Amino acid sequence: MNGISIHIIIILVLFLVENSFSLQRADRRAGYVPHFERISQLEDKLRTARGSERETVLLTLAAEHFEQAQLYTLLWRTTASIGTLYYDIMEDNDVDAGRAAGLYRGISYFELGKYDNAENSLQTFLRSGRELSQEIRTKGQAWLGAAQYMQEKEQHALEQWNAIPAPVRNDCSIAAYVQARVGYNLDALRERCSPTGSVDEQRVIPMIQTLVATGQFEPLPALLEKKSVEAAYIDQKGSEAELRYFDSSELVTLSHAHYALAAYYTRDVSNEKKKRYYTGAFYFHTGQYDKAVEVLVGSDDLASALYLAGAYYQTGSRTIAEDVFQYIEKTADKEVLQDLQVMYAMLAIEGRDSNVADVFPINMNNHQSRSRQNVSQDTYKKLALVYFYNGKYDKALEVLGAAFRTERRDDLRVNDPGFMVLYGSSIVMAKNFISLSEAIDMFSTVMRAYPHAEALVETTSLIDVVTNIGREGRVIYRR
Amino acid sequence: MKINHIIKVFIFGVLISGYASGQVQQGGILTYVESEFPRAYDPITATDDIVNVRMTTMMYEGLFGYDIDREIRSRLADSYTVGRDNKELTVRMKRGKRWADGREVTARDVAKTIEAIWASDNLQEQRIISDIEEVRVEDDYTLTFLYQTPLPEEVMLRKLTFKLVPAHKINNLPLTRQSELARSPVGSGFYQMVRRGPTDITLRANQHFRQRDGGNMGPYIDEVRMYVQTDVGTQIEFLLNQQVDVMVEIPPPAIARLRAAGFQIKPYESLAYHFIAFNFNHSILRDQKVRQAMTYGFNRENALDRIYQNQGTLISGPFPPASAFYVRDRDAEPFPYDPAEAIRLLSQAGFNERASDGTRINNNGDRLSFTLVVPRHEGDDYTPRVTAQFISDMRRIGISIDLQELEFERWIQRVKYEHNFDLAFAQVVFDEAGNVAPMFLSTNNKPGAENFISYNNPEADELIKRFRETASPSERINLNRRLHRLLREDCPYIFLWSLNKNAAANQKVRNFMTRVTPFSFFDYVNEWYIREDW
Repeated sequence: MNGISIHIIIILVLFLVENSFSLQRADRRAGYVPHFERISQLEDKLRTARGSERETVLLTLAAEHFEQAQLYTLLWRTTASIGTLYYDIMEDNDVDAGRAAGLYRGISYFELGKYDNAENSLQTFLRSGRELSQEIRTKGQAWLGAAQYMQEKEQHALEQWNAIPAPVRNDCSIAAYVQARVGYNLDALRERCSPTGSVDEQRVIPMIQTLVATGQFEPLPALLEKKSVEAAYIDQKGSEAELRYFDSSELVTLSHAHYALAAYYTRDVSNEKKKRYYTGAFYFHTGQYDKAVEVLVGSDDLASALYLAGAYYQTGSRTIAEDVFQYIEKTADKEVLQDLQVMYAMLAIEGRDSNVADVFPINMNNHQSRSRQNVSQDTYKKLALVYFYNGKYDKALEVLGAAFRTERRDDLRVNDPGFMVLYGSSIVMAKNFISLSEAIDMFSTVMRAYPHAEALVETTSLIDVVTNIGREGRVIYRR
Repeated sequence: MKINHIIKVFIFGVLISGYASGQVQQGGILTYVESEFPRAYDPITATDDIVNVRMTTMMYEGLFGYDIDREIRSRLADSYTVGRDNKELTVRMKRGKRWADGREVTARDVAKTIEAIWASDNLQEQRIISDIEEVRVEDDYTLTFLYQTPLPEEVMLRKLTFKLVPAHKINNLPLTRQSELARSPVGSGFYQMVRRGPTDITLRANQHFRQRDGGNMGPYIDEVRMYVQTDVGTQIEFLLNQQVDVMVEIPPPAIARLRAAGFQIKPYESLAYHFIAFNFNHSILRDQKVRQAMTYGFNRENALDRIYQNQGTLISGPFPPASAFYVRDRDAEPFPYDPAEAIRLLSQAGFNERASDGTRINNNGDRLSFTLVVPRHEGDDYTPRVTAQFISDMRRIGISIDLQELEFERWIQRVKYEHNFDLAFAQVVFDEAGNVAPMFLSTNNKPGAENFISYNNPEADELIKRFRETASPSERINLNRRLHRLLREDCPYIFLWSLNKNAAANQKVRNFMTRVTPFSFFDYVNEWYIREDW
């Protein structure tokens, strides 16, 4: 392969990996169009599209779902992280976080892969002696079982799940949901959560998760549409409504579903590389690393190879992962090598409990010292993500601050939703409390297009209030 | 008695980045530009002046203060003991702390400062210390504060964040802007004023400020100079020509140019908004329908877009959008521009007829004719355009506005002290606590207090009272969001917009991007440093 063609491939790969399928640029110019709206338009178009047009629509749909999935991934990670910080702050300030605090703290820990912390928190919650509704208690038992199951305490997990009252235990509800999340007894779940007839609100998320876990993707678009419509009206709740807590699990499920649909829509396309890429990415992001390796092994395009390296890393085959990445390094153009390093680090670090920045000595300083003109905001975002996942929030802030376009900071066409979520979350996680209003501002901007960002607004608002309790506050009038 | 509450040791974590890279440099001069001189140079007589707040932040300190994590930290205090019933607090002060003139800071200065606050017309600081019933000076370094009601320890300390003034410089009370201290400041903070020229003020590092002094570091920068330039365009030229290093607020259209020239741009707050206030002493303006009509009748979206290039957000109530208490629900959005609805409401309020000049009148012959008082400032191109559009929009719905432009100080006198206005235009800025209660609490309507519109709504009072009584963060959010909705509907102000705020700095000013506070701006100036080799 000559240098020019490699360069072209790399450009295509970056195009692919950076998930910047620039659908409907004209729409973007007119105003930011959220993914779920673009997806809805494309699904309409798919009904009548034929031949090559159909292939184009399918690939575009896959790209949109993939981008949506990545945003939800960022949303659940940041929501869970900020949720745990909130409870820590409440504890430090001796403020009662409410009866359900232990439950949501446990769920946040679970999502961040801290299963032992999740177990402790959920056990404390269930033993607190506080009056709990049956629904909340059942939720606690289900999640405690999940935390135990992930630590290979299957017997304990079953005890928890079996203690759930039979009608709930045997329905497509919270018990089914957590079992689908951990991959327990999927055959039984397939029957319990079969999407026939009308689906009531309580069952939508467990059903989506079960369909994803059992590989039944076809009913997902209709169920997701129901969820999107519901999400769009979150903000219509009344003034007395309970504040939304930090249950990031719904966001996890939505991210999984969108990865699944990216794979689903490329199932019948002739472009084998993209089919393989989206399928591998789906397995990767749902934690099925062995299957990801199975699908991606032998890939000769860099985008898939990056995922392959990441999947090997997650399965513990780190030497092979490094071999694959060395192949990428040798093949890639120097111009984009550092971007690839960042992307690899990002994939490797997505696995739970990994601390890849220490293991994988990526040269961040070199990357940062590059001229700003040559680095896209998206690349800065990925670099910041690596820092964020490693808990180096100050570094993430430094990187994001350099790329933040302040002159139109509430325009999602200028600073994309993922960038804003990450920047706001880095402010909060860095405990830069004097700047919480900036974080709230950023999350609110995202919330206008993605109602699920409300959880970030609410959690950050609570932190803002806790850290300000007792301050009288000063006011100044000025010109 | 609870004993030995040793104050948390300040961790120099905030400096990690600077120290770790070994780049921190001592010395140098920092220059910044303001539109006017502070109205006074002490922390008591002019705290309703943002220029004063920014400058006195660098020169004065309190017994306690806040660190960048909003944790309460000792400044001049060394340790404290909380009485058993949480109504008593004994504070032991650090020894050897000195005023800029070399005299030692003692407990008598604290007592004198409290006396000075109570003797002043600074109602805001009085409100903050109002829970302190008595102060006893036990010895030169020890004081006991008696509070009216039991308070959590943290709240007790937060009441002691007022900045101290030296007793030996106070000859007579009340302190006024003509007092010696208001003209020749002597503080115990990072800097002291050494020169006041016709267009500039020079502060120099306080030689008595002990470096790395338990929880409060001395500054790296030797000298801070404030230049005064009324014209914003010229301020930007100063920045571009490196005549100044920092500009605290740059107009949105200048951002791209400054960024392209390599300046650091720091978006630093949104806890501010513009408003037009209604005076509730005016019988017609007490009618909610009239207030709502005027809100519907002003095309704020157009004004924000046309005048401020849409660099801000329309607001729906008393909390700015970046506040935890702002309501984002669809049914609580800002009132839309709807002149037909405005006219319908005015008709319902009885203003069905029009006089020969087009002004609406009711059956009693009362005219919808009001004065609007607006602070005037040379070099401000924006406010005249806003008021011009407001007057034009009001005329369209039959309301006549008589514009009165006043010097800002005169505006404060007319509006805050005399309550002599119908409508008042201005901007309000909050610190991070974002406390709007003083503006709408019925009992806070004395001359000089924040409720200068004489607002009296029992439902709002009840929400404010309950907010103060609860410690639950979620309950606090719910209560203040209810307050936001209530005031959105009741329209004590026409809530206009919250503008994006950005500061700019030359690249040689380091630690600037992460160490700017929205309100006082220079709280962490001691952590900034100058890279002369930049």
